[in-house]
Amino acid sequence: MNPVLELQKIHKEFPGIVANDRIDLTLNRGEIHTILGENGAGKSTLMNIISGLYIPDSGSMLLEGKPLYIKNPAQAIANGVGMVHQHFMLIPNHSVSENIILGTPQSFRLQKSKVRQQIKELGIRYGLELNPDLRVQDLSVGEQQKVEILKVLFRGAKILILDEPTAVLTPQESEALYKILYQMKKDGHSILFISHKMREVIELSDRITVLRHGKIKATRNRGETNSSELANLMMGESTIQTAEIKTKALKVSPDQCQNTTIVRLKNAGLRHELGHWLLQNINLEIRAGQIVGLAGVAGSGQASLAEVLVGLRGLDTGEYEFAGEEQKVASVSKLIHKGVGYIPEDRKRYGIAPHLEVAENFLLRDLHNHRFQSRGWLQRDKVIAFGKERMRSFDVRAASEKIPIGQLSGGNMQKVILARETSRPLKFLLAAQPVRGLDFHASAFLQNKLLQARADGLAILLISEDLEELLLMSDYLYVICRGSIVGEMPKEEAEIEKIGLLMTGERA
Amino acid sequence: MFELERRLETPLSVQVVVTVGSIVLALILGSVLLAVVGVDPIEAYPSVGALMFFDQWGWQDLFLKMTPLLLTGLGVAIAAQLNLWNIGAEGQLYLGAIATTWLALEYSEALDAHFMLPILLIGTFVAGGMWAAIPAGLRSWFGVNEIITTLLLNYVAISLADYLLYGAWRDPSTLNFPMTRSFGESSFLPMIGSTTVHWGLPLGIILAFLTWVLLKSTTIGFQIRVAGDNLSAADYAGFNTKNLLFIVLVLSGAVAALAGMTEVAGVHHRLQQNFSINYGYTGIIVSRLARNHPIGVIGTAFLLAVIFVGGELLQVEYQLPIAVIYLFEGLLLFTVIGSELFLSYRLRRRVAV
Repeated sequence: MNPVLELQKIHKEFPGIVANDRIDLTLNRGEIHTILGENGAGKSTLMNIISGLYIPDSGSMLLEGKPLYIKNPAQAIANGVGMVHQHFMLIPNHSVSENIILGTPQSFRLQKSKVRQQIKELGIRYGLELNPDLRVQDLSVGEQQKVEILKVLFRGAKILILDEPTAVLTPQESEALYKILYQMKKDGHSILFISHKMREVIELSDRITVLRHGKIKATRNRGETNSSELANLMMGESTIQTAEIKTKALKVSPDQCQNTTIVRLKNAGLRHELGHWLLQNINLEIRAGQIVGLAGVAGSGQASLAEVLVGLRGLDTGEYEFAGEEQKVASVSKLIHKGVGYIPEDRKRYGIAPHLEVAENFLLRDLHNHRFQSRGWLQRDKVIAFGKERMRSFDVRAASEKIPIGQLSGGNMQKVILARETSRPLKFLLAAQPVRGLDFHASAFLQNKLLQARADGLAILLISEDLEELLLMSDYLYVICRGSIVGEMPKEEAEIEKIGLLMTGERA
Repeated sequence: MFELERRLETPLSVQVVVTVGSIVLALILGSVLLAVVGVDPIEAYPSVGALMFFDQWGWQDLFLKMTPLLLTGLGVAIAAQLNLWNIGAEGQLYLGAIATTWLALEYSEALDAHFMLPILLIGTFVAGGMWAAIPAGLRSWFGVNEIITTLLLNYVAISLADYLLYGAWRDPSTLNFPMTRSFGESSFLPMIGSTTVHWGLPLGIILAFLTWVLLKSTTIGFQIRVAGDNLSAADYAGFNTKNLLFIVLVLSGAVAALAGMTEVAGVHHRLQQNFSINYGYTGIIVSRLARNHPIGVIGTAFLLAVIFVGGELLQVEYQLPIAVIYLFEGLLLFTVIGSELFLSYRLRRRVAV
């Protein structure tokens, strides 16, 4: 064993949360070491500390036995630590070689041919062959990632951090990436690999460290573990029991007759502008009086699915049927009219107009209701009265209904959105991450309102990355992975372990 | 040591103090400028001020200059509600003047003022809207940047006016001057009372208030405010944001075009070359200084008129070059926009760590 990088009691807190709780970690020379964990487990914070984007509150780092102080990414690179970001940091209309030399010391007159030669050599050595003169915007996603890796290698990095590198790759591209990683490992590079895809992690890694709630749960060597143990470590074994207890307390109504299908997708497919599939062969059904949960790792296609269901995007293949009618043309306003409510995942980006009054934000998706306007004139007094009443019944805490909604806390903002979306006749409510970032009381309040809406006969789709929440709320569950439904089951048959495996792309 | 701290909200009192303070600062900096060119500011400011505000010629000129600034500024401000930059107010003003001139030359002998004035108003408004529909359509449906298209169309409109003035519309009796013959009297905008100020000014003020009412009290105005605040939220709400962009930019151009009508029908009574002293471009400053508020535009149009007329007086009384006006304009823009830092931040004494 030959440790290259050692972390000792690295600690980092953000307001209200301990992101990294005294982390000890070693990375050996020529090793692929995977950090496994759910969203919010603290993986990204840790990697950002190593690559110099964050400064830890306490703790120390040793590089080949010597203390290492990294204050910014430039110092990290100077010490041979390079990060390949999940979201590429490339300039699309510059060439590959221009992107690679960006930020490296160069003589005033660029030695283009020399650089080109260096890039070619690196490429041949690690299987990263690329034409250095192509523009980045003309490359595929997999090729763009190669540029990112070349960038780091060109700067002489010995330690590479890859943040969920396969999240955006096709299976074939992922295979090619593994080969590159093996080659780099053979060459003496050390790799920190972040992922939550169980299978690739087990195949690829020399060691696996599981993070949960900012703490290290366990470290396992190659061949000493299996998927189900890792899933348990990642998600926690006790979650399923606590979920059941709370469910009994929360369920307010007996099961409704769940006969009418409100939402139906048949072989639905959606393409990205660049051609790859965002959604493929989705078959899904949501009935009245039913909460359907959609489980999946972040970025598995939930956002695209939501956009289709509320009418922001039209399908490329398949059919979308709402209340028995096929929706051929995507139209948000038409679907609002037919009874679709939507609590968007990114509430600040989509859900509100931040500088408009709280009361005005109540009419965002209900503008043409005659309650608020007549012949195009807004009825100001009615808008205010309605806002006041809704704020009272949803317990929105704000100084006045006339302050800009952007000044409210996340929880109060979310209550406004829920109040707005449930205040007109609805058939279907899509709730994406409705309680993310909210405190316990606000979460319980919102979940109760959703259960009440279910009791009133609404069809509800709940999108969440939190399995506990899904098991607590849902009657039926779908699991989405890489834009496809990979499993479905009634709530009674749902097991956290099984769902966890499905979410990570492992067939159960 | 001091440091800047972000304000959570900006009270109205702070807005007033900061704005007035920045204008005073511009005047102080301007006095340095005057001193450098050999004019005593302590003598010049009061005498120019007296001529401007108390002399009949002075205040009438002030309101005459304010009118086109108000209309072009309002036009720019309307576009800014959706974060669009209408740099084309100058061209829209020219096109409005061309439309007015055509209608006036064609019909003012046949129709009396009761018919003629509404025809001029509506005709110019429609023509300006159609002109602005070119960049609006390109922006809405093809994503072409409106800053570039509106800017380039300025040159087209100005050249079109030149083409007509040197060709079909040139009045042979003026020998070789590029101007049309005078309109018939039914196409003259009437004056207010016994002054030389025409009804274009009240028209501009009414339009500013109408714009405000449209934004505040109608469903279309609500959609504009939402889309201007957060375009993604407007999509999420099911608003047709492409149509909104189109409508707003067309409206913006139509209002700016009215400035051309009030100039040729209210002041010159004919179309002539260089009748606009950059009113359209200055409209951008008018709107920007008012933070694109449709009613604030009334105040900033007056302020810019003060600079225009004050500059003219400085030219006449002290034989200063016209560049001095532009320098003043620049100084004012610099201090007012620079002062906006203090609207969102405040100075705080740094506590020793």
